[in-house]
Amino acid sequence: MVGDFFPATLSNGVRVYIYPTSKFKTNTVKVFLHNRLGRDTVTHMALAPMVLKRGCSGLETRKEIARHLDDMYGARFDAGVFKLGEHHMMQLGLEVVNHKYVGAGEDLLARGLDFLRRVTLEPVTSGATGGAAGGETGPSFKREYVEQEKDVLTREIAGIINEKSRYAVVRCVQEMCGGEPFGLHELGVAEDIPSIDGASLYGLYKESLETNPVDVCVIGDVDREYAFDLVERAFSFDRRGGGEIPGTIRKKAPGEPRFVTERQAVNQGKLCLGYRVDASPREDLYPLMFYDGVFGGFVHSKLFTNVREKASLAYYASSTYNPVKGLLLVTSGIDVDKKDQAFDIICRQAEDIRKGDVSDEEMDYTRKALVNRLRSWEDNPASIIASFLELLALGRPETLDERIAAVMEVTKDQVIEAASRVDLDTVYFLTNK
Amino acid sequence: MQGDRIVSETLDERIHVRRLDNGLPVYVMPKKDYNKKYATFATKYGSIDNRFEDPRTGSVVEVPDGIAHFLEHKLFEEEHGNIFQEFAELGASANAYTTYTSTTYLFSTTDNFYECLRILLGFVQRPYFTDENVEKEKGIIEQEIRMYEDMPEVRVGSNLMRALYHSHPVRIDVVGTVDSIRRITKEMLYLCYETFYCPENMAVFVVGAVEPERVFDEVAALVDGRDRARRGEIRRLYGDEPDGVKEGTVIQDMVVATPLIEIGFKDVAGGVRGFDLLKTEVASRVLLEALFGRGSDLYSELYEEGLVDEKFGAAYESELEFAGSFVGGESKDPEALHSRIMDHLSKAREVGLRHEDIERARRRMIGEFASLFNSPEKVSYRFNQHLFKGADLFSYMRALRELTPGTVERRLGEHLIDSRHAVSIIRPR
Repeated sequence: MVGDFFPATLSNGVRVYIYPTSKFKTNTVKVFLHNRLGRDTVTHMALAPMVLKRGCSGLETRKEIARHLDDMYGARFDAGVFKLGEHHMMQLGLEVVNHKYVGAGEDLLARGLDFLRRVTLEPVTSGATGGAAGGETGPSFKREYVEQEKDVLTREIAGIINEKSRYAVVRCVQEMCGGEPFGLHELGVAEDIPSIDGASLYGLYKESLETNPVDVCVIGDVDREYAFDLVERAFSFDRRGGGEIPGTIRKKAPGEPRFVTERQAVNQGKLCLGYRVDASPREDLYPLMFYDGVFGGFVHSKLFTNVREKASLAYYASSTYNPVKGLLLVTSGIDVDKKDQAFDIICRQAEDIRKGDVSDEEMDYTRKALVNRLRSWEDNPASIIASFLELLALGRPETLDERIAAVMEVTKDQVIEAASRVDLDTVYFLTNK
Repeated sequence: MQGDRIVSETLDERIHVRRLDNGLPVYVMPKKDYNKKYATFATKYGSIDNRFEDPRTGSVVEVPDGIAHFLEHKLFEEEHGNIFQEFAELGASANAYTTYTSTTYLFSTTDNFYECLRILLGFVQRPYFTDENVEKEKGIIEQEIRMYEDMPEVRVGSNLMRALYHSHPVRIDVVGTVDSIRRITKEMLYLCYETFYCPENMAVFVVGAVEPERVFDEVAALVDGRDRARRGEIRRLYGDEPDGVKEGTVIQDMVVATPLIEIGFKDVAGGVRGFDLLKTEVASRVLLEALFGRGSDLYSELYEEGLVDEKFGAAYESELEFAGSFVGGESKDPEALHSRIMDHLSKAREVGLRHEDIERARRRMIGEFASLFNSPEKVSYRFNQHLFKGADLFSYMRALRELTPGTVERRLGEHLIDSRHAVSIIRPR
């Protein structure tokens, strides 16, 4: 077992992880393609899944794909990108209802995997016509699709500004990690979009698919060997392997934090504090998860209690820990005039933990909340896969029971020790004046 | 007390039911493989219930907007502090939400379920309001209101409701306004609480690896014995809302990259409940899916022209007192999108719908409904929603299976009509 999954590897190197359970009404398959996060490829790789969604062999338009999914009783298909440390991950996912609950006469999972195969390996191409430079004759994604999706991606990147609380976090990370690949948004850079053409995009995608690591996860009411056979039939394509992806950069915070203020016509200020975590992501995982829980991860945490409940300054004030990159982000929505007050309270909470001000009660509540969170994840296919993927990236793919045991063992001293590794790097404030 | 079960053979799910002597219904859906146990305690009281008859005096009371939501916040406060801490002590997490028509308190836990259940039933039945704690909450809720003010997708919807409705309180935001919440006093909170938080107007729903009989007994011990007189039907006063819309178009400027648009069609509701209401709901949703879904001709045309993206969508929502369809998303040219949609509708009314489109939409919705039962949160949300409309959740599948193309086409003719629609647009500042 790798974590709670049964592992297997196809002869072409594609790694397969299967999690049989009768718990869910649906079967879920997710394909992850690892890429290096870098300015030269990030925009291409964000665009590629959008083009993949436009058509594949036998289903040459979006409409045909949509009708095919409708026909599979509303199967959900999605393709996109996200960051896992400094891996730029492409994800193609399908969730399809188990045929026995809707009276379908056939195995919808088998159909679903065949569909994923076609989307991933047989996208609509326009043969020798691609290549903006004119001379190229290799295969290309369909030009029309690429051009339309370039427009969509341009709008999506511009649209990050619409959602202010998320925007503030994105901006804080961008300011903090400006010199690192992680400072890039997963959707890429708008100004790089015009230079992309169908041929270069197809070439990069194909290269990545043939060389870079690929993981396939399956969760559902399936026999392990049957599921493996389906994946093998779908994804035994020719690969060369050998694609190496550099490890994630982990930096220390500067001596003094950096302050960034941005102005927009908003009604509420967004205060975002970016901390660097100078620790081993693998060894210190649980003490730091615990630190995050005491600090701001839950409603019993110091941030919620002090910023919201005691000072009435905010509707939300919380922290999240990104173990793979080694960042801890605090986010809060506050009155634009109350920034200094909120900032002081937040810093004081971090300082208090550092000084050892962690009560037995806070330890106890956090321990239970973490266990509750881990166990609850097991009730949702998407979160089972997401947390497994993160553990793989951290190099410690544990079972749920092992994870719970690790949480149980964390001591107050370890949490206080962990606090000394958490340093404020960047303070971002979105305000209207 | 009476016990009962609702069973769905196809979905392999069952819900156990018992109505306590004081009128409170309790529902349990066992999920033996799930770690999570999820419970809700809901009341049929939401933001639209701002005018009603005081059951004790019979006189008409009008309360400030946003009071149901304010009350939701305040019930978490106890004399000795905050109820979140009590759940935290047990490793559970608690929350609540208020809609136009209901307020729901909930917790989620993997351990100590019955202790958590006792806390939930306890705090919802134990209001503790002081002048001081009511004042303190205003700062927090003001920040919540400000947060929504900056959310374009919230603004576009709430502006639309104001355009669609002349006087019905659904035109007011669930959270109220900064001014209206400032007028809220503890006396008003007690009055609303006494009126709407009575067993017959509430429901308990539990999902997870639990014993139905034990849940019934625990709830009965904590609720049944209380001295809460039966009230009968509560008189809620929503006024007379005309069929037509108040304004055709509303526009707001915000800091957004691409304009947002939402088109609303006001449905004539009222008088329909139970299975009939479900049938209308299902027919309307299949209709919207057939017209605007990802598999529709229109969607792919609009997508290829760059007028819509993946955020585009359509939904039908119905309550006993109001209902409507909502279509929209982001668009670089909202006016063009609006006219394309209206043209599409008039053409569809002329030539009719393709039965294969209806069939496809129906099939999709059957699969989506089955998938709902993966999620304790989603299934209880939908269960409570249906319950307060006098319908049972499993009947939704029956309504889908029994739906005829004729019903869907009739909905097209009577509901999605020009004279009952309004448009809300958010433009980049």
